[in-house]
This record gives sequence, structure tokens and C-alpha cells, in this order.
Amino acid sequence: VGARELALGSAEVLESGPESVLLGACQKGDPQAFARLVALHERMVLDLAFRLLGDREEAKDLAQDAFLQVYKTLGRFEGRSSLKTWIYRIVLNLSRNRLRFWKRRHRAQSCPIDALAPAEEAQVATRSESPFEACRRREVGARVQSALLRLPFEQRAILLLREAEDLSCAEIALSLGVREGTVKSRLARARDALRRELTGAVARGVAE
Amino acid sequence: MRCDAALRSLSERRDGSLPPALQGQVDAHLAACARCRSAASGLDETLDGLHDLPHLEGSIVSDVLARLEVETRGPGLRLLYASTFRRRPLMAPCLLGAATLLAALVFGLTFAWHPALPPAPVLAWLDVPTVRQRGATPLDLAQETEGNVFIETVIGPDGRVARIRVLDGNGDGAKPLMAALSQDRYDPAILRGHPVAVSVFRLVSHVDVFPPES
Repeated sequence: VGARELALGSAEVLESGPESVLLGACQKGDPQAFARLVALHERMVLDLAFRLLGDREEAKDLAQDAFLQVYKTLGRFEGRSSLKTWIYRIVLNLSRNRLRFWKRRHRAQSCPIDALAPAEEAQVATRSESPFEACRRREVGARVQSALLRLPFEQRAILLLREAEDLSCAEIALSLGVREGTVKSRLARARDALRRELTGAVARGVAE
Repeated sequence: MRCDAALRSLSERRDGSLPPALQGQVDAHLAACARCRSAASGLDETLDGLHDLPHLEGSIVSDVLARLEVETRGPGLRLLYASTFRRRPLMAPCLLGAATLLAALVFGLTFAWHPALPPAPVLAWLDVPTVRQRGATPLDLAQETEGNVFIETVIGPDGRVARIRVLDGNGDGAKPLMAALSQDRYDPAILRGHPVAVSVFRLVSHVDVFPPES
């Protein structure tokens, strides 16, 4: 069965079956089950990768790497955390490694927000809100994303997991491999750093 | 409550994880302090902005499966030969049979088959020459030589002594003995029905024997 057929056929089986059944089928090497798993989690993986890296193509590439790693290491998944938390952990590790790789090669880590593709504009425009509100939300999102990319990786990751992905502190602790108390203190610092970053950006804009 | 303590508590306040008593103190401080209230609202606005971050559209399911197929297939050999075996289902059994036959042949040649023994040494079929006519009597021999002499005698196909030489011992003293021995006549050695020339090696020892005195 070709990859394209699997991708097309996966949609109809997304609704059925609990996660444990899906995991069991994936661990037995069932490609259709794996296609289902990818389809279930691709949105969160793509968004997290894009927000961590700030680069569309790199994020897509990293998301593919993450799912391949999920497939290869699925046999070692013991279910002590949820599958979602485990996938987050893989994405975070891969993103951290990729940013280190860029740093060694002195590559810029952020992309200009103006480079957002028309896909995002179209998505915002389809919401049931006024064009003014849609434009404001888009502008705020771009400003926050820009400020986020200026934060250290760990702070960026913890903010995204808590605020954008709505993970609890316990889940974040599992994803990052740290204690829950550490997550809380880092989260407070990260929130303050982002607020300062945005305040500084506004002050710079006023000065200009 | 001091401003710095209130600002430190803003993160936990947002999460709703402050103890009730402390929550009350922070709320009271924010109601009284415009600077901290502004910081709290700024924080809330900032963090709410994280929900409006741009999304990455598109699906990667087919891309992931394509990469998975390539990576799990391994080297290109399987791709190259899979279709051949599928198209010719008898190829694999034939190859297996041929391999078995070859293995049996190699095993047989190595361990089971013993080639015919090489021809036995020539001497095994050789009828050694025997003396037909002596040229000297044993007494002559005893008188003519002295000590030990190792002699090679080449006896020709006609039974005559073709060559005689001393290999070890007193050659000069053995000359009369050799002259006598060269007169011997032999029945020649026979190899596969034909008379052949051979070499005969012998050790001649001389012992003085004196008759008892009367």
C-alpha cells in the first residue's frame, strides 16, 4: 500500500479506536495505524516546531524527523506518560539539537514575521470575526512570536507548552525531564522575560 | 504586601495555584497599586497573545510515510531484486537447488572422495637380482680385503656388473675385492616383466680367522 493511499485512507479511521489500540497496532508495525497516529498529532507537532524554530521549512522537516523517531522508538514507549507528552519531548529534543546545530554554523534562528505565507492570512480571515479584529489578532500573534524567538530556548519551550499547548506543569515536567517545582520557577521567569521583551519592543517602536 | 513579592506571585496567580490567603493579599495589593496592576494586566495580555500565534498549515502524513518507506526498506538491493523474484517464482527454488548441489559437490570432493593411490614404489614390483655365477669365492674375498668396505654395484639388464665403487672404507685395499666382485654374474632385476638396471649396496666386513695351532 503506497504512502499516498495510506494518507488518504487514514481520515476515515481517525475517529475510531482508543490510543492504546492505536499504539498496539503501531508497535506491531501497522503502517495504517501509524498514518493515523501522525494525522492525530501532526498539528501540535507542526505548530510547536514552527514556534520553536521560527522557520517554516525547518519546522516541517523537524516534524517529519520527530514522527520517524516516534516510529523507531515506539517499542520503548512504556506508557508512563501520555503519548502526547512523549511526542512533545521528542520534538523539544530535536529542536534543541537543531538550534545548537545552527548556532555552531552561525545561522540566524528567527525568520521575519512578514514572511508568513498566505495560508496563515487565509486561515485568520475565515474566522467568524471582523476584519479589524482578525488583523489585530494576526498582528499581536506576529509580535508575540517575534518576541518569543528572542527568548532562550528553554524559556520559549516552557511558555509554549504551558500557554499555547495548555499542558499542566506536571506534563511539562515530564516533557522537559525536570521536576515540577523547576517548571514553576522557570515558567515565572519565562513569563516575566516575555513581558519585558514585548514591553521593550513597544518602547523601541515608540522611540523610533 | 510589597510590590516585588506581588510581582513574583503573578505567574502563580495566573495559574490559580496560589494559596487562598496569599491570593487575597495579592489581589488587595493589585487593587491598591497601579504599577503592579499594570504589570499584571500586561502579563495577561502578553500571555493571551500566545494563543494567537501563527499556525503552520498543510499535512505531513504522506511525507512521513514516504520517508518511513524509504528508511525501512534499507539498501536498494531489495528494491532491485524484489520484483525479479516476484516475476519469476521458480528462480528462488532453482537457485536454492543449485546451491545445495554445489555444496554437496564441494563437500564430497573435500571429504568423501579419495583419489586412487599413486603407483606403488618401483621396488615393490622389482625382483631383486640374484647371483648366478660368482667371480670370487668367499675365502678369496676374505684374503683380499681388510676392515669394512661399503660398496655400490650397478647391475645391468644383462646381469653383468656395469659399475662398482667404494662408497666408504679403504678403497685402495678393496681393489682386489672389487675386481673379483666385478666378475660376478646376476639374474637381472625384472620390472613389469622387463630386465632393468639396478644399484645394489652392500657392506663387506673382513674378519681374520686363524686355524688353531697344532
